[in-house]
Amino acid sequence: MTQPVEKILVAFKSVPDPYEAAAPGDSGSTAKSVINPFDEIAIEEALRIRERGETSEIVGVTIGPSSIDEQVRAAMAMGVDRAIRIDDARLLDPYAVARILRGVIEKEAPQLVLMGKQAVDDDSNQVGQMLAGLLGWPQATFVSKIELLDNRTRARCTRETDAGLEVIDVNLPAIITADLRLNEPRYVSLPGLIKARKKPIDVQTCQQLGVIVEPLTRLSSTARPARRSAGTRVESVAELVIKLKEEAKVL
Amino acid sequence: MIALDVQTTTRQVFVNIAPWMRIVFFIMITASMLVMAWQLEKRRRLWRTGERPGFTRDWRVWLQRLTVYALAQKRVHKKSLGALLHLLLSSGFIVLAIGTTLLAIAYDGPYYFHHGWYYLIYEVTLDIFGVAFCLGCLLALYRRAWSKPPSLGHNWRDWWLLSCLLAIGLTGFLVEALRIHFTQVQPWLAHWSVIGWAIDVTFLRGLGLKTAQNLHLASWWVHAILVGAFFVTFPVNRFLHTLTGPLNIATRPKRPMGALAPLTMAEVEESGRTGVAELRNFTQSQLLSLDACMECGRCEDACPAFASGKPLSPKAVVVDLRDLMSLGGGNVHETIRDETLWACTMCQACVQECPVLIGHVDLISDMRRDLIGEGRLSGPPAKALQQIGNQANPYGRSNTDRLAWAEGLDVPTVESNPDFEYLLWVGCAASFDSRAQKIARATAQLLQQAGVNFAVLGREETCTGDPARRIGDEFLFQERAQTNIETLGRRKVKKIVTPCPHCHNTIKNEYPQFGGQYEVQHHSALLAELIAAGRLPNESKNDDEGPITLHDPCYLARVNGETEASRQVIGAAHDPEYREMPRCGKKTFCCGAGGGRMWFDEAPEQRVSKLRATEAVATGAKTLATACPFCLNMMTDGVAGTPGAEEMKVMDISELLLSRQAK
Repeated sequence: MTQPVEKILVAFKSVPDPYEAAAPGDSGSTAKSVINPFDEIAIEEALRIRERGETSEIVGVTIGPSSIDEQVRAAMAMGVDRAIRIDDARLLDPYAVARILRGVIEKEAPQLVLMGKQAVDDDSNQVGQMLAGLLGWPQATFVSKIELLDNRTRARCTRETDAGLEVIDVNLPAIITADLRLNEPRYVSLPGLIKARKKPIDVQTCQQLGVIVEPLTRLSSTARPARRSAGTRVESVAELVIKLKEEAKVL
Repeated sequence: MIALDVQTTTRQVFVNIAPWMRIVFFIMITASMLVMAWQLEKRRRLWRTGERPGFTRDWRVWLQRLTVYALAQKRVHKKSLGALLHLLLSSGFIVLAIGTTLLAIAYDGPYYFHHGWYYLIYEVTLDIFGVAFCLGCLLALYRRAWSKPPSLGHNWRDWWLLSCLLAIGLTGFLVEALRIHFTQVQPWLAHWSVIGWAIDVTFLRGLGLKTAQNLHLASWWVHAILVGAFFVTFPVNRFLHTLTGPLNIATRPKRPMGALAPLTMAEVEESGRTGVAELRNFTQSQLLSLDACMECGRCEDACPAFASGKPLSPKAVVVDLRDLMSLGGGNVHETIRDETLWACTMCQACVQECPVLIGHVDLISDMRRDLIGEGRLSGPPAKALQQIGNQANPYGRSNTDRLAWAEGLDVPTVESNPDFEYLLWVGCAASFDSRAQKIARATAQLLQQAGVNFAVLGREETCTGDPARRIGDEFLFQERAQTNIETLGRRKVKKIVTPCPHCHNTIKNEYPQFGGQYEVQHHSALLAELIAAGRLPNESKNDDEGPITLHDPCYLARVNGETEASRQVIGAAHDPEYREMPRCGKKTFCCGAGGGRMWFDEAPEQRVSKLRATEAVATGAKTLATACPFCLNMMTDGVAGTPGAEEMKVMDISELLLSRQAK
């Protein structure tokens, strides 16, 4: 008789909509916020594990001020059973986030923690790894496939590496970070979001968790990338070679 | 002398049938009709399980539709064996049924009118239509036994029905012939019962009177029992459509073909669902429509999803839902797979073909809405919806780039030209898709050259919501509709012209549901007007155009009936090289992009555009003209890699017209 994984915890972050043309640090940007796309994939994977009957509860967790509640509702509308928001408006670095998440995990005691491989706003790609280190848990990063084996005590994960696919087994509890090809997240419509509005959000503070964090890094400045200048059309291959040689100096 | 005889001419009803037999006959017929009524009542109760009625209750509409679609059977007519046999069968059945009813009235009623000239005309009429009826049965049997069109489908009940009807017809004639024989009707009178008389003088010659009388009794009983059996089995075979078809034709909801039914948030909050999950979530009108289907298969023959090998047949959707209804209802998604519902391009070809006006697209749309509500969509179409929500266009581009297509054209905006006559509604495709942007450029340049006073909304324009509504996200659509109606009101827009048939359809047919009323034209219509007024010349083709063929966009031609303007723009009438595809005008064939399919991944071997490109190539045309940015996109893909299409160019009508202006 196989036992389902009792609880999966999914960590997610609210990020500016990557499709909106807003540069880092744009003040007064009207860009909407969305769930970090990789975290959305992690949530979707948890839902699929539950749909296969392999878990009984999915808890979502995020860190930020009440302005990100819209993304918390979106996670609940997707199907997360309950959601915790750690109320903290500071710009936190990955180490601070990992320590806060450790606090939540020690309280919630999930058997599996899922999150995106990185957030698309700061591209740090560190939280999952640091969290595994802090907890002393195994980790599988950049995962494109998850199978739960041996009475749900082990996860077989396919990792997408530069060299190709790597299959590793990790004992649970473990940290798994999602890559792009793990799945395609489901679409949440307006009535779904409205329904989710009725669900309560469990708002906690770092103090309540007993975690005291100070960011170790600080944002000093941001700048827009230089605008790409328009290309030119060349008449012939000979002209192209000359231009590559003399103007672009690549030959 | 004959005139005198005519006045008294009649025949004895129930001749040769003893009084006790007549009583048995009446009991049998009454009982079989009661069984039929009871079975029909069971069906009616199933229709009534629908949560809302959804019927049209306007008798003028009923009368008009019944005349056109039930009596004249407009949708049935076409050059096919099926149409011919239907005409024979239905006219025969209707006349014989009316004749038998009249006889019953004459026999039982207070005034006996079954004599004289009336009787003679009655006899000859019923004989002629009896022949039509039997011939119809024979052709239908031939179709089932030999020609076997695959979309027709077949089961044992069909053999029963047709043999039963044919036997009723033949025994009817036999009874008539034997009656003429043994009652020794005078030849001049017998001639009026032309078939019975013909049988009598050919096959019954020399038959003894007593034998004829006995045979008459036997065949009369066979005829009567078959009629009873027909009544009993009527509600469980294809013949049911003779009742449910007209019922559906009369009462189906009154809405333009291009408009889906609106849904309110209050309805969603009350029912807790956004679409149809359980069969009873359909309207009573929709459940009735399932029983109106006689499985002729015309919808399947016209369906681009079916033709391209996708798991959808509109007929199967109807039949599967009807089978579910016969079981007392249940979850529709356990019967119809998600992929089936997503395969629909909402081209409306099935709806256009259906002789009994079943709304396949409404059925599919209602079930799609539930899939959206339940989070059962993912991948590229989900992304498109998300982007309509976040960026107000399905391409995920920032709306600040709305005017990128107009670079260097000095296109007037609602700000720079607030007193415009026409609003040029560009649409997302022509605003953001790099190929389709050329349509926007060509259209704007033509309007400028013709001196039309127009303006564009620029960044105030957003997606009409068409793809959202058709994929099944009704509230995302309504959000877009409300925003756009508010913008159009603020800018005092009265006339709209757009190069996109989907924007055209949604603004014209769906925005009125939310209070947006405008004069909407597709760019083909305005360009044709400008050509007719001499403001844009289009006489001389360019040398490199070669022979042209036109792909009619579904939402322009089929759904909104506009087929001529595009042809006028490309000068089809005075172009001897112009080619027409077999499926053209209102009977056009989809490119595969409708119903939100533009944003679905399509397996290369299942591309609708491939089928259409092959059809275009077969005309020998070198230029494939179209009038829709999505068709342009799909047909460009379809033409690529289609044998014989290496030289074929795919162009919008506005691009062709612009290229003819330069000279």
